Amino acid sequence: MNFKTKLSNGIKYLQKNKSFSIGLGIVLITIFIAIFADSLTPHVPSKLNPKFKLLPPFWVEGGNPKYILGTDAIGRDLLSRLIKGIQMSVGISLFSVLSSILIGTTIGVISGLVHPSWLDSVLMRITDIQMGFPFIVLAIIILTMVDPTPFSCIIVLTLSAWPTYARVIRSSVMIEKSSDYVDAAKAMGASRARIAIKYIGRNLLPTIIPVAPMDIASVVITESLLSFMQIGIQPPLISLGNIMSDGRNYISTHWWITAIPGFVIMIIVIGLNLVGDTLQTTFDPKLKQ
Amino acid sequence: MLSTIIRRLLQGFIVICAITIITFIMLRMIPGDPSRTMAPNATEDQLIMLRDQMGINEPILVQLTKYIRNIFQGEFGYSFFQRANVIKVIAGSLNASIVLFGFALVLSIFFGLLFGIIAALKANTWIDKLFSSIAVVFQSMPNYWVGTMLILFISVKLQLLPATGYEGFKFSILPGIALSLPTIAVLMRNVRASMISSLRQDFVKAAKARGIPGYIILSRYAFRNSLIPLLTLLGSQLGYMVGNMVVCEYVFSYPGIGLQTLYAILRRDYYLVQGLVVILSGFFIVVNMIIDIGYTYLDPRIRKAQGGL
Repeated sequence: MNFKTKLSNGIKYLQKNKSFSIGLGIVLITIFIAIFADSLTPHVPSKLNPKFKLLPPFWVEGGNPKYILGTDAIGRDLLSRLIKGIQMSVGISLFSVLSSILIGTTIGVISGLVHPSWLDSVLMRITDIQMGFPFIVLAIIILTMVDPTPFSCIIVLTLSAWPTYARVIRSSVMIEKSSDYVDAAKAMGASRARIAIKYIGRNLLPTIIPVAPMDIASVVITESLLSFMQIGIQPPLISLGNIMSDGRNYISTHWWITAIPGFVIMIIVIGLNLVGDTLQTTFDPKLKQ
Repeated sequence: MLSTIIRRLLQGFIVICAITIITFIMLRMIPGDPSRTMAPNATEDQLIMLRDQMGINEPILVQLTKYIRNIFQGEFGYSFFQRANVIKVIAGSLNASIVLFGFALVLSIFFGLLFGIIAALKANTWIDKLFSSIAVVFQSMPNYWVGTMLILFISVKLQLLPATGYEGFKFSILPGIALSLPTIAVLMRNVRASMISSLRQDFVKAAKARGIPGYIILSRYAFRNSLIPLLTLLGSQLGYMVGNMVVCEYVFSYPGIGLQTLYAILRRDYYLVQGLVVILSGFFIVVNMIIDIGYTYLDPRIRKAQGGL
């Protein structure tokens, strides 16, 4: 199959799956904004402009077309801050999900391979403890314990996400381990390491891929929540959450400062969820009907 | 069956113990201690005296052993700031949280089931598509943002309902709605999927062929078959809801155990945090345990499989 037919097949697929193409579009735009944030901002995001404090978006009366989405309480351009906020939120969420996949997969694979044994029980109890700990409480304790930098936010968010991967991977490894083709490979004398890498390893990706986009979505929300509660990303760094927390004091008179960032988060999360939905149905034949 | 229950109880107990110990150690690693927050203007000598009184001058391990020994005597310690027994403080704010949580749960289950069943019956029509799109939106909205927007539109602009505090059920409505939206969405989508697959099963077709009326097919055949996966899902959802409840209480300044927890951590009110963490995580663990045991009991296939293992 040459490139052209592949491309046209791809386009046909996108035309058939409207929700997937909408989701993919949103995700691609978000990634684009995150990568090129610095050249996309119309104003310097941290620059104060006392003359234009609390400007409304341009379509509301009193708006200034130079500041498309208006300004905040000390006259900083909201659109520029949003763009930088998207960059921060997307970056933190991606790193958090990648590291949870890494940790979760390692623990899940080990646990699944050595099941049933004491090591498996210990690892699963650790997973239980992590899942039983009310996340928000853990996050507040850790983020008051250490400096709330982007790095510590990533660690906290990783803590919340890895157990899911560990569980899913463990059960998939256990299913693969007892499958006929692994038995056959064992009978032919394949070593444990070879079985682990060649036969079980290749089944990990189909387990991870459908879960990942939805997981990124929930991490985007959690990250913004931490910053909204002022325990996550701290000013002068900008995140979608702390823009909203800035606006909270002006909610009754200047709604846009809080409303718009939340709306942006919602759109990003919708995109990720739509992509995740489609991947889940594609990878899970049971849901295909 | 009995051995499964005992094993699960034991596991739950171990998890709660571990969480208690981890919280205990982490809380004391937070810089700053409660004596300073309590008496910001005290001299160094006075602070040392105060710490002695509160029993937080000893090494962490000594404090921990004392704390655990006290728990076994039914003594959960005192709240430094509210100058009352931790159990009393928690009991005082538990009521508001239970009202909020219960209301959100009723909303979630009612609308989740209702919309899910309607979407399944009208599968692939515009009604189904509309409901499913709304579900995606509900699922994607940050909880605290929904709360803030509800305050803006319902409380500030329309002045229909109070925004903050708690002086009766009226105050639980907005936070309850904010808390229930994501759960409604998740339940709806899963009810829809499992109802659609139930409705395709042979026993449902057979029942239709025998001329059994539609509503009986729906309630006795299709719905009952969908119940087990929903039960598991509800378990994990309850866990999320507890976390989201803390957030909603923060947004609405709703004086329940969530807000209590936040203040307790920020003020380093050690024993109060400790008690609240046990309540919050204990709820999550017990619910999951009940659901695990419940579905082992409900589904004969799982019962058999567990006996076989």
